[in-house]
Amino acid sequence: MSEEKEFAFLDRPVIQGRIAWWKVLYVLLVLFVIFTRLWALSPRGYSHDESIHAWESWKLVTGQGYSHNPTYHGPFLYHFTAFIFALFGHNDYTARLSPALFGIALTVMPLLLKKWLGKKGVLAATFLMAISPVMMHRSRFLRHDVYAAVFNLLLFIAILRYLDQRKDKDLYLAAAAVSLGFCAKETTFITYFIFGTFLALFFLYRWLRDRTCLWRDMPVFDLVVVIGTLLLPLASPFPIKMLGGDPLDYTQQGVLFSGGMFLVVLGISVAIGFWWDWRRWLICAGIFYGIFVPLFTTMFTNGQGFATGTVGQLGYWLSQHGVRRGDQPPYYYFVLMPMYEFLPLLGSVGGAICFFSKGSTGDEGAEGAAERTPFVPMLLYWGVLAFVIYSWAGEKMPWLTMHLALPLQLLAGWAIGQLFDTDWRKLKEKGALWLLLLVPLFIYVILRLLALTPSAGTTKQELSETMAWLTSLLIGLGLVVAISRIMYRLRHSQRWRIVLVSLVVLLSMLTLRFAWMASFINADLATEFLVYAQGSPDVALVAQEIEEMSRRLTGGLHMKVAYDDDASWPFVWYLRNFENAQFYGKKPDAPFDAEVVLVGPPNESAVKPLLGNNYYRRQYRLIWWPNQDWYMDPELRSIREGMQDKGPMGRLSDSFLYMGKMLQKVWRVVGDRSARQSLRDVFFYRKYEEASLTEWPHVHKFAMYVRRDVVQQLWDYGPEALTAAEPLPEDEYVEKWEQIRADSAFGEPSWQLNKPKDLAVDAEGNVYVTDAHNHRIQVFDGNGQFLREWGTEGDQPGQFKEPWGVTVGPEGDVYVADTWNHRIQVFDGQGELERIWGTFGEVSDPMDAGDLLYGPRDLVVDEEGYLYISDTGNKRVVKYDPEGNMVKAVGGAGDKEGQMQEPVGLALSPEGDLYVADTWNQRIQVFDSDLNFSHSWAIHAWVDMSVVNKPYLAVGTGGNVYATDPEDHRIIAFDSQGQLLRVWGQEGSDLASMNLPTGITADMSGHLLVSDSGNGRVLVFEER
Amino acid sequence: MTVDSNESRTCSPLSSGAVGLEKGRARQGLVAGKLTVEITLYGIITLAALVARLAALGCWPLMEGEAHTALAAWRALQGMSPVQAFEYIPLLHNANLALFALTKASDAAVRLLPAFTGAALVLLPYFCRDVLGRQGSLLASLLFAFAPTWIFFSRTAEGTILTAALSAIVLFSIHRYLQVSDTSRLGWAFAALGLALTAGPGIYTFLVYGLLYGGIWWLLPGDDGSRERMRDLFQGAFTRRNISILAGAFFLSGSAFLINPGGIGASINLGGWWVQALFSLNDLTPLTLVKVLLTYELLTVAFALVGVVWGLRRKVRFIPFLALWVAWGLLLSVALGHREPHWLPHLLLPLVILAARGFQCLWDHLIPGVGWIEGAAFWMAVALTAFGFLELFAFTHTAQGRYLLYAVGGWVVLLVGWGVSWLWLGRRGTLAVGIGILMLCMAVVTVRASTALVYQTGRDAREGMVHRPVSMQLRALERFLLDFSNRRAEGLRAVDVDYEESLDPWMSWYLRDYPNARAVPFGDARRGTTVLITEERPKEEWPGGYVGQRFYLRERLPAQTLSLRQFLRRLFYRDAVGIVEAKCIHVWVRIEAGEQ
Repeated sequence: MSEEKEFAFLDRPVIQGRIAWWKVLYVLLVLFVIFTRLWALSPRGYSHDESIHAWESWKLVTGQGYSHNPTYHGPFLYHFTAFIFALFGHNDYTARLSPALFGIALTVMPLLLKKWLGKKGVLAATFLMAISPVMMHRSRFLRHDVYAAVFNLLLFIAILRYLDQRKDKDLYLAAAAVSLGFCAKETTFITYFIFGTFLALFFLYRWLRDRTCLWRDMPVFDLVVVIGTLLLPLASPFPIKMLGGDPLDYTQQGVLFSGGMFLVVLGISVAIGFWWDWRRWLICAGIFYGIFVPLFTTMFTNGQGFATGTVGQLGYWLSQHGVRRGDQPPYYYFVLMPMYEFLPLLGSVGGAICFFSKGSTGDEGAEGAAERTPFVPMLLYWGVLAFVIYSWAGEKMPWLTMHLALPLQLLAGWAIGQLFDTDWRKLKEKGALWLLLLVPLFIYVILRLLALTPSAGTTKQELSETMAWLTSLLIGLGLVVAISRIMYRLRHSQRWRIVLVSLVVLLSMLTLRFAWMASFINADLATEFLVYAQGSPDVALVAQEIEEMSRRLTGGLHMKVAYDDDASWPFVWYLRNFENAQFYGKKPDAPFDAEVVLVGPPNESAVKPLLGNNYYRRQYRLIWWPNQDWYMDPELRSIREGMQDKGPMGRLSDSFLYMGKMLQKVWRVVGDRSARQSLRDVFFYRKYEEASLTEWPHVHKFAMYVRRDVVQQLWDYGPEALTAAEPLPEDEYVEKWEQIRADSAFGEPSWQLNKPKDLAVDAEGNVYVTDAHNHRIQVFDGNGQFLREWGTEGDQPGQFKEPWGVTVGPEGDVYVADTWNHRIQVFDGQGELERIWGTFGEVSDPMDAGDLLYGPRDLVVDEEGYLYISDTGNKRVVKYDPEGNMVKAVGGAGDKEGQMQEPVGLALSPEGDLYVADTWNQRIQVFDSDLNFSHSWAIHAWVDMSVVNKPYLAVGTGGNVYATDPEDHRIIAFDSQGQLLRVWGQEGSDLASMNLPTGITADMSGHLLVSDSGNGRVLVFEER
Repeated sequence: MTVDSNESRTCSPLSSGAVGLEKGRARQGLVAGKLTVEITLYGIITLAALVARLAALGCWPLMEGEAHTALAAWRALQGMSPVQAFEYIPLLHNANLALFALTKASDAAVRLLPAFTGAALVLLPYFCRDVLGRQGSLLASLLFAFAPTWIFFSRTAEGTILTAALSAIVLFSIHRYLQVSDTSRLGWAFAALGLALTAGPGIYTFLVYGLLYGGIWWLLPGDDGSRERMRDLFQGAFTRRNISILAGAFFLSGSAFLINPGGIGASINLGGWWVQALFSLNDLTPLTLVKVLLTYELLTVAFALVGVVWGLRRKVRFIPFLALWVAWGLLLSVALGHREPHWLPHLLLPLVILAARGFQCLWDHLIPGVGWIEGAAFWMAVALTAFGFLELFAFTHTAQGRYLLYAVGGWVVLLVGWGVSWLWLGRRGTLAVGIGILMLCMAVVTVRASTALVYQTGRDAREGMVHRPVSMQLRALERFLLDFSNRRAEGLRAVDVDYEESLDPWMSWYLRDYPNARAVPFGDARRGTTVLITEERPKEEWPGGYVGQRFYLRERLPAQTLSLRQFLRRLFYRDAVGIVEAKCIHVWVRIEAGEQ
């Protein structure tokens, strides 16, 4: 770029000469759009779907990956939202920032259609989009539709521009728009089908009209080829289905078949493209796949994304067609659109009439452009077909109205632009502008007259109504006179124009009202029909309260919050920053210790016994749905459901029956005053006779339980403050806590050991460590010098999947609990595999098959070579003879003597007693060598049930028992009878501190070795 | 500080001093009276900067320095003397006085003047386009608008942004004077200096450096008549008129137009503050400020390095002046005691000017070589860079080294591809792509840091820019007291509160509207006071008949080493890694009979 060009750009005047009024209006509109899209994005509760989308994006930006899944639509949203998170952090506002930005872009885009819309048309279209309830609401909502709408409109613009000027750059823009559209949402298939068929029809029309014209000379042919060849491979699920395959079959055979079919279709596309113009086609394909591949493969980190993107996404949604999620009726959009988008709907009808009566012309004498580019016909085709196809499609949802509204708003914008295109000075001179006030007033008076009933009786109320009716009549008559006098001065065409403009003004105000209600007043209330599976305002309040409680209680987001599978969405999103958030599914296995517990109705009866009387309960509304009962008539539904099983003739006759019944019901509403009033209440105020928000019929609730001692500390949070003076329980281990520093540590720097778990010492003093997250065993000498290692990740013999336990037998054999391969492996001291046993299995009786293991966590070998294993998930301890045959077992779920909940650490005393860390029962149980219960003592620790809070045990040279307390970052010492001796350790990384101490063992020379799992090291303490 | 007329013509001609200025004027003449793209861009940036500064301006509780100044102004308005006689910023104090009188005392009002000053600073580069270049000026404007340091201190009522902005005005006024010998420019410089002397201790960093640099220039003159120019400057500067302006600005601003004569003392105290800070022993390490600079302002530093290299190679005279200014700032922070983050803007100001020059130079060299191939290459490079970052994110999440390996692998592939394209496509375009990618990465990190500092973690002790912050729990305390007062005392803020004097300036500020609140020494609380606010004390000193809640007051981050993963988590996500220590306070509420 030359300097002159640069300066020319910076010096280019933004406004030349006089300030154009339409530019000022346009800027004001854009400012209005920016305000309405960006203001107060965060207070609204997150809906079910929004929370999933936000959470997936958050996972992507925090290194937890994203894999394209057709159920959750295209990858663009996740990438863009993740990028926004990377820029601005993740919170309730920034998650909705990306759709808001696209919502703004969408509204600004009609400017690119100025050639066809004209200045007034641009203003009108922008205005309609700016005040549109659907556009405003959905631009503030984290779903894929706004992105798809932007890319669809971009393709529309590129098509028009290419048809008009036939510049290659517009063709490339079209290729980019097609690709981005597919990356946004599968509804793009519908829009591109509409565009494609229109272009094909337009091509046929032009070719039949100008037979002398060569195909290749027609720009529409270029577009048909480019869009068609880019689209074709992605439509391969159709031939796959036709040939009896299943695009969602991910077995080897299925993938081969689908992949083969895809390649065939791709080959056909390539051949057509090369036949057309290989150079331009390659550029278009490069742009298309240059966007498509990185996004679907998550920037090359998920190779499978290419398959799910090319074949899976359409395949999935074809299969969903029959599922008919939501079960909305075929006339769903015929109810929803008139409720919100009545102005574009009426404007489009007017536009169609206008077009067929006088044809299409743009603002700047663009008749040539109109000839080359079928702007209005294409919009008409788009609008009508969108209505038809979306009404036919199985899934009908409020967010899809965006795709119906878009073409209508453009078409109505064009029509309103035409309407405003007149000499307003002359109209002003004739006083016609008064009509802009008088006509809406007159319409209001008419509606008022219809709503009131005169002479109904003689009560005070009825007389007052009669009076009001008469007053309205008088005002109406006055208005008729005034309007007639002005009309008399106008020409016929002027009369119609000014009346229509008045209507537009009136309907615009109404539209703005509904948009404001939907976006700012009822944004998360189920009285609004645009709201669906929406989190209630309670959700946001609860989330905020939990966060405040946690900050006050712990100084950060460290509070334990447990939630079940019923209340998980949207709380998964809200609790993402809580490091101690616990998902417990339907029911936890042990009593709760969490400060806050969230539970949905289906699980509450199971959860309540585990909460005891330690919690206060509050009930809230989780998610709700709009009240669709008033238009989803049961009789109509039964007719529709009956159609499924009938033949074509039966369906036809049922269709007539359906239409007839529907009209009959509509007529009944029109004729019945109370029904009319109900309809008016619903339409204007979103009020329902039969349901208030406090007793909403379509709601799913949840309960929040707050632990009593928390309320005692934060007594300003609720009425429970009266208990504030009760003393709080104290940690009885605090008094015995001592500051003890480790003598040394090894394993640092941290990448040598990645989350080490258990450790063991052999007769020579060598230390064996399960380097769990590196899936290997590392061996160090007594001074911490590395000796050797073995094992990699995998399920082959000699490989490991997160090994936890290790011990050394009397012969020097090394026994490893290969936890997530559900087996035991035995090696010699050098790492040569000797034997292996165990496979995954759940047992109901502890004495069941000894080779069925469910996550073995620890093991010990006695002097005679007998092996004891804690089979954690099966809640038992199993004893094997030296050959690996099961001898005995003890355990079973429960808290009685000998029963266990999550047994983990094992240790053997010199006398042969076996100590078992019965974690969730919070006790240590002692058994003799035949696994007969001896005694037990309680542990005031191990309260958290997280996957890393797994304590291990060791018996020291003096017979003392040592237990790790991982999440409290400390070691607890007892004598052999369970008398507490001392406690030491704190969170940190110096030698007096630990982070998740897990494994522990004692060597012959009086040392205690502790695997400091979070710090990736082994600490060596002098035994006391 | 004039620009050498022999500097390279390969960079923007507007950069060549007076010649460039004339050309610039000529070009401006072409579009005189029209709203150009350039002016619109400055307008948009300034507007966005203003919105960013004003949005949620009162969201953070006041830091200690802010609270002192705010409280002094509020007490002055009530006819009381300040709690600490000299510990406030006179210029801010005056502005607060006016704002409190016109509106209402609030945390947001306290910060209004810095916010508007910060937004006005964004416009300054527009008037320096002849020195910085047009694209360089736009970059400087963007940095002033959105770089973390500038935006943070624009929302902090500590006078830092005021002194930085006034220093910039002094600098550019002198520069203009040297260019066109218009003495009226020096009047502006002296007025700005007079105000700056009441605006914060930071002005002395600039002033002392200017005097030192001038002295060296005087003592070690070159053979290019620099001593003569120095003499001209001296004679032009120290006229009776200019000295009157300086003195007038200083006294009027310091004394709030003679309303607050004590402000003169506070203004003079700023010099003492500056000197005292040089030799104060605090717990910050010598490299603290450098770390903060590199953590938050990598983008500025990177461009500034380009500017320095370019300036030194072309022997542009004002580049050494700026480079030495940076060195001076580093000297004060590394070898002496100016280590707290509020000294950073005075180190950063010359860096922004250098960065603007560096960017202009890159623009002039690289943009002409950019075409659609570079566009495609850029997109591919973005995808590969994103791959690397995703793997790096996976490493920060899982701690599995293989992800780190993949990330490095991705970037090695990118580097190799870049090298190949260097050989294949040629130097300029490839360089542009490479620099574009680096810029993008640094811009993302910069924007992230800005957003976090301004709206998310602005009171987190882990943020290096925030030294010993007050806790956000002060907000919870405010809410609690208000609710409690409504419930218990049946009146808005009617509850009686006794708080320890040592908790000032915060308690006096946040309880200023509680008529029944008073500061007392420890143990001197009234009998039966409904609410007591004390420092955290051992259990045996807890008052009987009260129940208490703990609130954090101030937080600090003790020295601790972060692992690579922790560092990355902090950098990318602002995760709360490391342990923060808090100084707490107790709020005690008397238990009423029915509650016991």
